Amino acid sequence: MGLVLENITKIFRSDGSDMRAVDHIALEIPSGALVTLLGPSGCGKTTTLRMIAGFELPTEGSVRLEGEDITFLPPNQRNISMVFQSYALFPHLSVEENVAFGLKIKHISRDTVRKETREMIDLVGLRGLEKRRPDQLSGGQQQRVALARSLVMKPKVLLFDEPLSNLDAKLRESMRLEIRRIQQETAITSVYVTHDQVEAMSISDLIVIMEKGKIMQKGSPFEVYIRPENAFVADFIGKVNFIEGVADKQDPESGIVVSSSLKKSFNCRNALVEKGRPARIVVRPEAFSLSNARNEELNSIAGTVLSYSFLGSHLEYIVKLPDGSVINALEYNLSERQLPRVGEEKRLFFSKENAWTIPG
Amino acid sequence: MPFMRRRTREALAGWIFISPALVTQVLFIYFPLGWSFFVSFFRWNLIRPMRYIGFDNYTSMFTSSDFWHSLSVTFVYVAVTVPVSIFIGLLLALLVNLPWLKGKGAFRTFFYVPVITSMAAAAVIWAWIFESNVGLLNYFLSWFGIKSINWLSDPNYALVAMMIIGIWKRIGYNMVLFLAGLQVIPRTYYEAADIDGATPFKKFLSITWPLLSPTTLFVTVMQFIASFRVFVSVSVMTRGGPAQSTQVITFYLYENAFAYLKFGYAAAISVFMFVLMIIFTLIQFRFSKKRVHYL
Repeated sequence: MGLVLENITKIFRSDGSDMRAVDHIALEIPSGALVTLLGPSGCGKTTTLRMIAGFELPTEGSVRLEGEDITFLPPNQRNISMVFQSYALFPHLSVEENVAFGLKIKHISRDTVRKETREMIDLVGLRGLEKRRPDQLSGGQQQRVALARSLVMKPKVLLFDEPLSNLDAKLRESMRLEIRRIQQETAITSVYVTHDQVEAMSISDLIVIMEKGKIMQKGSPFEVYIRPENAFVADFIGKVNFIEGVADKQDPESGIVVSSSLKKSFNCRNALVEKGRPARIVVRPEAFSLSNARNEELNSIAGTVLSYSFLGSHLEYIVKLPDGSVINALEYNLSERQLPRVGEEKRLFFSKENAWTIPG
Repeated sequence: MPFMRRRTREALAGWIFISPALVTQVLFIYFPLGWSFFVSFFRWNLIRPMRYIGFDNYTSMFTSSDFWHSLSVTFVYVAVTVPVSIFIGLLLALLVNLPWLKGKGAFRTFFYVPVITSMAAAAVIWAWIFESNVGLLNYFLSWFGIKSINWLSDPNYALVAMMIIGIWKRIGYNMVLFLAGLQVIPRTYYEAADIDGATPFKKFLSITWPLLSPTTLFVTVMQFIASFRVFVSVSVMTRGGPAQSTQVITFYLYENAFAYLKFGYAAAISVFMFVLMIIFTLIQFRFSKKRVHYL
C-alpha cells in the first residue's frame, strides 16, 4: 500500500474553542493511484492534504508512506511534492530556474540539474519557454511549470491542492487530461483535492467524498455516482431526484419495494434500508424516460411539465408530481415533433436498475 | 440649484470636494516651488527690492567651497543613514513578523514611537544622551572600557551623532513598511520551499528579499529624500558645527536665507536640491527596474 492515513483527526484550537476540521479519517491509497478528496468548502479536504504534506500535524492518528510512519517528519523529509492552488511560482525566477529550484537546494551537480530540468520541461510541453518569467506565461503554462517543479523532485507522492481552480473552463478540461496523462506516465501516487465533481470524476481512480471532516463515501467514480451510500453523496455528485417513502418489503426478485408519498410502490435495486424504515429512492435525471402514455406501470409517475430547456443535445424537464414535489428529467434523441408543451401531462418511467435506495 | 445643468452641478461638486487638497497643494507645494525657482534668479534680502541677476546665484553656488563642503557632508550622512536604517528596519520587521513571538503589538509600537515623536523635542533628549560628562551613551560605553567621547563638540563624532539620531528616527517607519511587505508574500512560497528543503537563510535570499523588492525600492527612495533633507537635529543640537562638520545642505540653505538674508542664493540651493533628488530618484527607479519583482 502506498499511502495510509490511520484514523487521523485535526482539531484547530483558537480563542478557547475547538474546531474539528478532520474527524477520524482512515484511508488507504494504493501505489500509483490517483485519489481525489472531493467535498464542499470547509469539509476538511485541504487540511487532510496539508497533514499528508507535513504542513499540519494531526491531533490524532498517523500517516504512513510505504510502511514508514511519516506523521512527524518535516515536509522535506517525506519525499512528497505539492502543486499549489496558486502555483507558488517564484515571480523573479524563469521557468527553468523555478523547475530547478528544489534540485539546487539538494546540491545536485549542475549537469544533472540541467538534464533533469530539461526532461521535466519537455514532459510538460514547455520547451522553448525556459527563459520566460511566470508573468509572461498563460495560466495553463504556469500550471505546467508548477507540475514540472513538483515532478522534478521525483516524489513518492504528489499532492494537488485545487490546481485547476484558477483556470477558465476550457483550459481546465484540457489541463485535467494533461495531469492525468502525466500522472499515469510517471505512475506517481497522487492525492488530488477539488470541490469540482466533474474534475474528480474525470481523473480519479478513487474518489473520497468528504463532509464536515468525515468521509461520506469512497469508491470509484462509477460507484459513487451509481451507488451513493447517503443523500449527501447522491446530491453532491451530479444531479439527482429523491422520492421519499418507506421500505416496504424486500424481495430477491423485485428488490426493495418502497411505498412513497405518491401512494405508489416502486421496485428498487438495493436493500440498504430495513423494512419499515424511511427510505429515499435516488433516480438520476437521465434515468427517466418520458412518454404521453396514460397506463399505470410499477415504476412510473404521472406529472405536469412545469418548464423545459432545450440544451442542444438534450431537453431538460422540470415536472411537477401530484404530491407537489418536482422532478428533474433529461431526454435525449429528440426530434422537433417531441418538443413538449408547458402544462402537458407526461408519464416518467424508470427501471428498477436505475432506482437506488438510501436511508431516508 | 435647479437653474444649473446637471453636468455643471456635478463638475462644481467635484471641484468643491477636491478644493481642500488642491488649495493646500497649490499654496504649500506648487507655489513655493515656482516662487523658489523664480527667486533664484534674483538678489533679494527682503528689505531692498528684488534685482534680477540671471544665473549669478547658481554661479556663486557652484564656486563656493562651503556649498561643496555641505553637499559632501550631506552625501556622507545619506550614504550611512539610508542603508543602515533600511537594514535595521528590515531586521526588526523580520523579528516582529515571527509567528511565535509574543507581544508583537507592543514591539511594533515601541519601534514606531520615534517616528511620531517631535524631532525638536527628541533632539533635546538626545543632546542629554550625547552629553560628554553625564550623558547616557558615554556611561553605557564606559562599561566596555571606552573612554568618554565628546559627541557633539568633537568634529570627528558630531556627524556620527546626527546619523545615530537619524537612524533612530527612521527605523520604525522602515519597519512598518517592510512588515506590510512581508505580510503580503503568500505563505505558499515558503511552503513550496519547505517541501524542497530550503533553509531559513535560503528562503530569505530566494523568496523574502526578492519579493520585498518593491517595498525596498519605496523605502530607499523615501529614506534618501528624508535623509537629504535632515535639518531639525542639526539645527537644535550643533548648528552645523563643530568646525562645520555637521553643516548639511539644508542647514547651509537655512543660514544663507535667514542668517545672511541671501534669499535668492538660498532659493538657488533649494532648486539644486530639488533637481538632485529627482535625478537620484529616477536613477534608483531605472537601476531597480530589473531587480524589482511585483507579486
